[in-house]
Amino acid sequence: MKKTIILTAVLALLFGSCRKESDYVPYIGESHKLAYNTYEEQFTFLWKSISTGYVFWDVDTTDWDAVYSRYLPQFQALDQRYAKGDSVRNDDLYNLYHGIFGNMKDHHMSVYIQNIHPHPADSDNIVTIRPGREEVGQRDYFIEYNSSERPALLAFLNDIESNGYTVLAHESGSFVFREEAISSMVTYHYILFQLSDGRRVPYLWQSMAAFTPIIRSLGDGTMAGDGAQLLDHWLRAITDTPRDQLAGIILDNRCNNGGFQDDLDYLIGSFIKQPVEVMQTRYKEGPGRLEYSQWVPYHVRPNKKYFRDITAERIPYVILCDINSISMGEIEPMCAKAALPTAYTIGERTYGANCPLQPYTDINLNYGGPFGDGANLRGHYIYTSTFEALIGGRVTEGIGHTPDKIVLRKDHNGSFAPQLDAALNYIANY
Amino acid sequence: MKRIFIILVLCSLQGLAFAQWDVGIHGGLNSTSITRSHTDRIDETYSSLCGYDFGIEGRYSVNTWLAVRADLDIMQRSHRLQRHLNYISPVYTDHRNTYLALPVMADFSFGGQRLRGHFLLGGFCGYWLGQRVKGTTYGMTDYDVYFIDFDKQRPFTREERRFDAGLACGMAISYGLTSCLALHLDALLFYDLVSHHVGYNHLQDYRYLNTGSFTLGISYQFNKKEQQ
Repeated sequence: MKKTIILTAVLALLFGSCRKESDYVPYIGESHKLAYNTYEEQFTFLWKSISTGYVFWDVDTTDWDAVYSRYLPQFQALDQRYAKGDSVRNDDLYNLYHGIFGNMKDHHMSVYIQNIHPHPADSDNIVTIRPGREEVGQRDYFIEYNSSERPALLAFLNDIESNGYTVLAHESGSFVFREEAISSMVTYHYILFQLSDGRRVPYLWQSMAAFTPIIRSLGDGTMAGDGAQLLDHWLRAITDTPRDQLAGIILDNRCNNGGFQDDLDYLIGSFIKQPVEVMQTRYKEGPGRLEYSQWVPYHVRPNKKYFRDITAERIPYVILCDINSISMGEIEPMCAKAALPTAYTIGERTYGANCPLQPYTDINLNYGGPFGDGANLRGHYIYTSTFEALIGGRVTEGIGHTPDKIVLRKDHNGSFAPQLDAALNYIANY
Repeated sequence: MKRIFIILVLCSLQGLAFAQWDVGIHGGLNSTSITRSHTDRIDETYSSLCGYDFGIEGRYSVNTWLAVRADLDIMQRSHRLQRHLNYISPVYTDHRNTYLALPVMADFSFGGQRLRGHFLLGGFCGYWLGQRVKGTTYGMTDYDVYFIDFDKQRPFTREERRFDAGLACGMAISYGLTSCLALHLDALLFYDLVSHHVGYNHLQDYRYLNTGSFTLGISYQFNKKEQQ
């Protein structure tokens, strides 16, 4: 018996040694990895973290193993250059990291790399790559990015009465709100249009998706509360206007750069009786590139305070979107299409940042999504989607929403009017 | 891969025509754990789960103390992933993996005519037939985490290797009920030497299953009289 036990132990050790040791996989949230000694170490950490935490490996065709083989020697060469006394220019680092990240699918992605041995001639030590932004800039209907376009849109809305539209009410303003100690500002235009037949169209333009934090401040006397009053007026115009006087609804998400997912509970929830599944999400459940959690349904919840059954009453709900509708700015029209039969979208194919993300402080929760030093950009900060999402049964990351009716501003000298006109005409003839 | 299995199965059954063979059936339970890198996923633990195990067996006696035994088993090799972080501690996944396993072992036996002890040593190869996952996962809104239960078949990905092989060894006790029929109680270890995660050139993440199987079986010896 003793011999048997010894023999078993020997065999276990023998065969145990036949098992191979896994490579070291860093914890994606390792804070001490925010300080690197070499460019190779920095690249290797980022390569492994993207390998384990990036959520689009099932749809992203980037050959991540080829990236390692191709770029590791180049980062080693940078280290050798520095060891010989040469600093590394930001452009050198940019060219390498642009080659690595430049074609990735994630349109939320922003890559911030600290140059650990910056050249004195460079004004800062951060290299930034935004693959989605680059892809969008190459589209044939692209005019300008959000920050450049928004002032022109605001000018159009500010002068809406003098542009030949009949306007019964017009409220606008910029409102500051605080969420998790961060202050942000959202701008709204609520306009009550009147059609030639006398019927009304409540219209709302929102610079970002911040409906939820704003409207929660209704009546509290703060600046956010003032914004809530504006939103309340838009919703009341929808819910309280008699059917024969209400022609339709317009939500304008052009130049909307995203925000809160819970906004769906107002922008769609106000028009449904029962919860409606509008998308499914999943996260990385393991370090394997294809190791996902199960798809989890996301339901929009009915809004009890503001409600109108626009499906039963056949009230058209038009959502305007354009190439600068980003993230929730484009998820909203997609989900509206999924939930509401009378939803209709007009404008341009949207940006393509279609999957939700959480703050980098949640990296322990999801093992994916933004990671690194989001506060100070030391070492690295990778802003990337936390969840992969199925909307309308497919992953639309990098593609965006293609509206029901395409009206390109590029075909109208960049004017914002034709898309709005198309919305009003659609409603008038519905 | 399927051809190899068919050949092995035929080889193992070929000897049925000969007089030295025992054939039998067995069934029981097993417990499976997984050996894998934790990859610094700081709130995850992996634990064992029970599964079923049943199959057929053939045994060729070389002499009174040495035989060669080959089984063909359907084994459920299951384990659990549990998360512990405060917000999401309800999250877990039970991986119910179904394998077809073909252990081939040397059977060293000792003892009397009716009650015998066996020491089994050999290897096995197998094929991962399917995987079912059951558990709780989560989704997030801006302000809440919510949980969803699931229980479904999980399709294989290109990261998963379905061929399996490793060490099979253990102990058994047999008791002769009649001159031809015998009961046996087996305790076997299936120790993977092939990772079921394929991994990548520059990032290998090996994962091995370890299964302790306890089965009760009954076997029939074709030519007891001739042997006697």
